Amino acid sequence: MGDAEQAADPPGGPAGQRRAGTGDGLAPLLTRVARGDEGAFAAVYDATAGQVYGVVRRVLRDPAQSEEVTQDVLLEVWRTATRFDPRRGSGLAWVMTMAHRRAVDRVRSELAATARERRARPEGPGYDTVTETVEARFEAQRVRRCLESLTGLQRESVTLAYYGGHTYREVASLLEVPVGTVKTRMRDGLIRLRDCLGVDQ
Amino acid sequence: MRLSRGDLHTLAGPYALDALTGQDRDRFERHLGRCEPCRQEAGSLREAAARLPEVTVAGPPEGLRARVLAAAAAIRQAPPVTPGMGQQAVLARRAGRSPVLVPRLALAVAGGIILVLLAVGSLAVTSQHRAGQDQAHSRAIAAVMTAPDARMVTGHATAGGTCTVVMSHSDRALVLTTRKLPRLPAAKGYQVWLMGPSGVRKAGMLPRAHQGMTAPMVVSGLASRDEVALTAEPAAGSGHPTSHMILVLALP
Ligand SMILES: [Zn+2]
Repeated sequence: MGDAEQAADPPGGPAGQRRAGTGDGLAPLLTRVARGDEGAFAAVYDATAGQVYGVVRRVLRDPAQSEEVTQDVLLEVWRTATRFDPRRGSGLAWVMTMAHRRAVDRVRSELAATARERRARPEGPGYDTVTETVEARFEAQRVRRCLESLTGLQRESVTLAYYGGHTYREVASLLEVPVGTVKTRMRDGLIRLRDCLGVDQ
Repeated sequence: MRLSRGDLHTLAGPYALDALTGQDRDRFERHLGRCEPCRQEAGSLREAAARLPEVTVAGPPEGLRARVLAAAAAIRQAPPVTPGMGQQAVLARRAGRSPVLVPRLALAVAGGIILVLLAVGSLAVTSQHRAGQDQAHSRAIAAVMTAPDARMVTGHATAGGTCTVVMSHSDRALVLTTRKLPRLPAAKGYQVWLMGPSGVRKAGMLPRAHQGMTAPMVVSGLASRDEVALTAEPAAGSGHPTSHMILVLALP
């Protein structure tokens, strides 16, 4: 499967300007949250709740469970902002890692197992998303274009894992390719995405 | 399936996508502690993965923001693991509590807190109080929730509905919320009682329910072997219970 295919040139260009409130913009807010600043926490909520809820719902499907996980994640942000270290990565990566991990852990838990059996094979990011501002739409478009610059196998490996919540072994069997191939396609795909978006730290 | 040492270096991609199972993830995280190149790579791939949610942004449900902000106000923050910014403030905030027990307990009761507080959209009704009172109220709730000996217990009322109590003997206080108790006419209200070996004491009126739930109520002056009881009384409250108890909750 399309391993040798050529990818288009990365369309996003190098590090564009980041949306206020995401990426590094979150770090100073999180530092204030770490001091118990409730206003800063409200700003963190506003800057991240759409992404958190959106990705959790994409992975879990169920709106009620997604709301519950979103709530847990954001309260965990409040509780552990004292442990956020900007030298180790952006605030956005810190929050989104927490969110995605929770969603994936939940979907893989036994409780969710039955529901998951009934689920259709997960697809990519899809285009039915609610984006609220022009800037958000712009960011979404940029990420989408960068995803399109991946090879087919890179893109499928990344999206099945990330949006579908599958392990790399599951992805390998879904795509019928060796496990080692999937591991490297995930890595190469993320490297290409990173370079396209210009988000290297 | 066991991963060989050489395999570990190839897992940064799956790791950044949370595509490792628990066991593989644990092994790789231990590896990250020893392997600088993998740590660098995993970090930079995480940054890329963190942009993937841009494509699936969705408006969170109405009311979530108010619930999360209200709950945060009552949840004590964890102390930092390593010295760094914010530490002084955090140390000040946890003054008077055992530094070891607080984070562990905060974690242990986090589920309970969230249940109790998020059951409670009405906590967000700050207009009922002046800001200062509201903050003191939040602090009193947080004190019970994060007490080293905090326990949670839930009981069913005879007429339907539940009552959840988080209590601390060391604070001699409890936080009480209810869900879906039967509605009472406007002239009536639910009154809370503490019943101990020495008799029955008034513990205050339950606030009016919003969407079937009452905001957390703090009851202090708790004694050992007290039980919590609920009766329906005239809205202004009674000196002693005048109707049968719809709930008696033994405390741990
Ligand atoms: Zn390594």
